[in-house]
Amino acid sequence: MDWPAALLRWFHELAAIMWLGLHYYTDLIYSRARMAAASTGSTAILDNFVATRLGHGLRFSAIVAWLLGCGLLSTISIPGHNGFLDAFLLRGMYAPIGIGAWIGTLMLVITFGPMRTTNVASALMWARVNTILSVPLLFFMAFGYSHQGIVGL
Amino acid sequence: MKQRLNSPWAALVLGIGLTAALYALALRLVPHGGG
Repeated sequence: MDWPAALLRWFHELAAIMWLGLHYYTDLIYSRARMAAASTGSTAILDNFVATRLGHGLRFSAIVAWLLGCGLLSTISIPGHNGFLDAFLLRGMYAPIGIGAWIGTLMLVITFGPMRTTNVASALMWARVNTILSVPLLFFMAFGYSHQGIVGL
Repeated sequence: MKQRLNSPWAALVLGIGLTAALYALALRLVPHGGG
């Protein structure tokens, strides 16, 4: 049993699912609820009681998923290679998971940067950007390393 | 038009398009890619 690799993968996935789940909630449910609430002039209750907590949950799960993902990359090192470095430098067989790692990093920057604002409408626009990025992210996370053959990489 | 772009389906389609472009890039980067 390779405990570090197992625990890193397990909790990376838990945090990543929480992150993307909150993202889809933000983009698909919250933003629509806010649009509906806007017609009655009652967005403040959503923004005051939900948006702040949503932001905390998004940032917490994002940083945990990213850090554990970086740790996980180092566990896929083979002799003569550093999985973390080779992935981020897009080298050889580590390039596909590296593309996923870079997309995840960009999404993390968006989560901690432009999404962290009191301008909820702007944050929601960036949440949509991250929803779009989550599609290739999941492709490269699923097939970027351990299941490359399925997609011919 | 704007309403269509706001649809979650538009996000999915854009995401799939982006995936295809990055997949083509990955094929070039992996030594045995496309084989």
